[in-house]
Amino acid sequence: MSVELITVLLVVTFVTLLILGLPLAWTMGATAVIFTVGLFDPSTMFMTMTRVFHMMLNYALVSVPLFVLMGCILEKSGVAEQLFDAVYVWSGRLRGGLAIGTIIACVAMAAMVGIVGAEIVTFGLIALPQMLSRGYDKGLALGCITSGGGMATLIPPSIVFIVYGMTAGVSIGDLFIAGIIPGLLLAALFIGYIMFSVWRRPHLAPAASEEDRNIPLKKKLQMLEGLIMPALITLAVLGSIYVGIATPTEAAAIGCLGAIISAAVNHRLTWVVIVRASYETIWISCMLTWLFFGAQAIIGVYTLAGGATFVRNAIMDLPFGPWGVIVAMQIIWVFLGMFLDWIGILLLTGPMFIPIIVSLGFDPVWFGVVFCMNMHISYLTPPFGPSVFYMASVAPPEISITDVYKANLPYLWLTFVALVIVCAFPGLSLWLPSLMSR
Amino acid sequence: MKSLLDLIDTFNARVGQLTAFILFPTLFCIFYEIIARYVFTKPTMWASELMIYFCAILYVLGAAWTLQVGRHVKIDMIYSRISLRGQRVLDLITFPFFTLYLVMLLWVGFQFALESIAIRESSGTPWNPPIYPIKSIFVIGCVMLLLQGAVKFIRDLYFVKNGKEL
Repeated sequence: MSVELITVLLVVTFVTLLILGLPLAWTMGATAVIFTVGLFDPSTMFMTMTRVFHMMLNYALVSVPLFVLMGCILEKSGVAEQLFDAVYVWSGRLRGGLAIGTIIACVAMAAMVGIVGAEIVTFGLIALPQMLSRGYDKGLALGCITSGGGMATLIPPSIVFIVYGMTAGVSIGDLFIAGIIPGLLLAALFIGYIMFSVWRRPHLAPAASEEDRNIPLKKKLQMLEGLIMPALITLAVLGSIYVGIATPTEAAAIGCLGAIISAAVNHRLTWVVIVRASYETIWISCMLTWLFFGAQAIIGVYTLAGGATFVRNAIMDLPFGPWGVIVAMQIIWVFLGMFLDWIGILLLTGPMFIPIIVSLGFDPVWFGVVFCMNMHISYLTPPFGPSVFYMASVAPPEISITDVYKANLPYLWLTFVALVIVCAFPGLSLWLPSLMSR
Repeated sequence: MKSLLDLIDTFNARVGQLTAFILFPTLFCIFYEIIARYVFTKPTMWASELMIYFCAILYVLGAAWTLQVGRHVKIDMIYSRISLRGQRVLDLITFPFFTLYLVMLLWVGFQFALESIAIRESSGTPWNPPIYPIKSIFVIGCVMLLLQGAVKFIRDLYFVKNGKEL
């Protein structure tokens, strides 16, 4: 059987099972088994199993449950409320201050939580009612929370970076640090856009009320207390990775401790919180790791059938030069992003794409940042836009999914602009990691 | 029949809930290692390896419970737009594929575990702990997943036939 035919059959099997509603993890595994048995003999499964065990006993993988646990505890610790309150009080006089404050709070929270869903849901519950009750435009409010929360993919510690690092075999620490400047660039663009649009159309964001404007300085300073723990956690997690004294796994453990202490300080550390956070963590971790196992199986058999070489040759034969290849890959991502979650896209395309871009002379760390920005875009685009679904799930019932999609359009364009900038100037991603001590 | 299905549900959930707490010994290992390394400048041989095994147990023994609570991601573009009965019918159709994968993993995993137990395989690191318990736990995890899948299959079948939950 020719490799072209195998590719077509494999994709058809995969897509059919997926559309029938079989979870992605089993879809990958079942497709792999069908093709392993069909093309080779069943004993090839032993090779697959070796790959699965290798994945299961991977040191870097340990950081996944730990960062998830950290995020789950922080989500319930009241830190997000405090962050938002502090930013809100300090941005009181500024027109559109709540929306700008939301973006800032999202960035701060993203520096602690690596899961988009957790962040959008948290701020959807805290910030959206505040903005709507103060007469903010619906679109402005929805857009800044959804797009701001989505930055958790790009701002370290991001689960996307961990998985990318394991797939590409590059340092997760480097990736984390590389995401900082592009993440801040994105936030700056968002804030600039909000300021510009409320300046042009002041009715979008009414000025703050007298009461909100005249908060005594003493109270304002008190609010800053809420920022101490988040700042310490961010500093401990990212700082220890940056100066090279801790691996991402160790940094995640320190982050867990920080999250537990924050919850305790806020009197939120109950048995129920710990139990719920642990349960949530085991669900997310199992979901992710079984996806990794399935991906190991399907990528393994496809590579064995000559698929990786086939994809490589097909992409290298594109008549557009190295940058054309990069653009083509991103078009494939955006296309896949209409159906698949980031994890599926990364696990399926990563093992094929990354060796290609490396041999073309691109930096895999930079490519990781580019991937994350693509995923931020795909999270906001229909028909499958997880960020939008998270937002809609906590928005009041009169807000439809379409409202949320529309609200995010300007941010989508801005992310696209940021993506082009990050692509054109790799230094934005690579400068900070290059300063890291090793 | 119903009591057997409930028993499997309860068993998988209880095992999953217990396993979730393995996160805390994992954290302990890391802190122990950090303190041993930076305070006593005497890194341990076991801590960073042991936490990997703890997490491996987490992934394997929690999977069936994750399936039970429906947290394995699926693409619901079509799935979410059809009736509950239609969804159950689709689940019945895709069940053989799930089984195919898991039976294959179970079969291969079982051989791996048997071989590992036979030679009392150890990890080959400086600490060198036995590795066969981990390989055996993988087999248990596959069995739990298959049982959970079967429970769901029977419930789906009942629902499609009788129009109500078993």
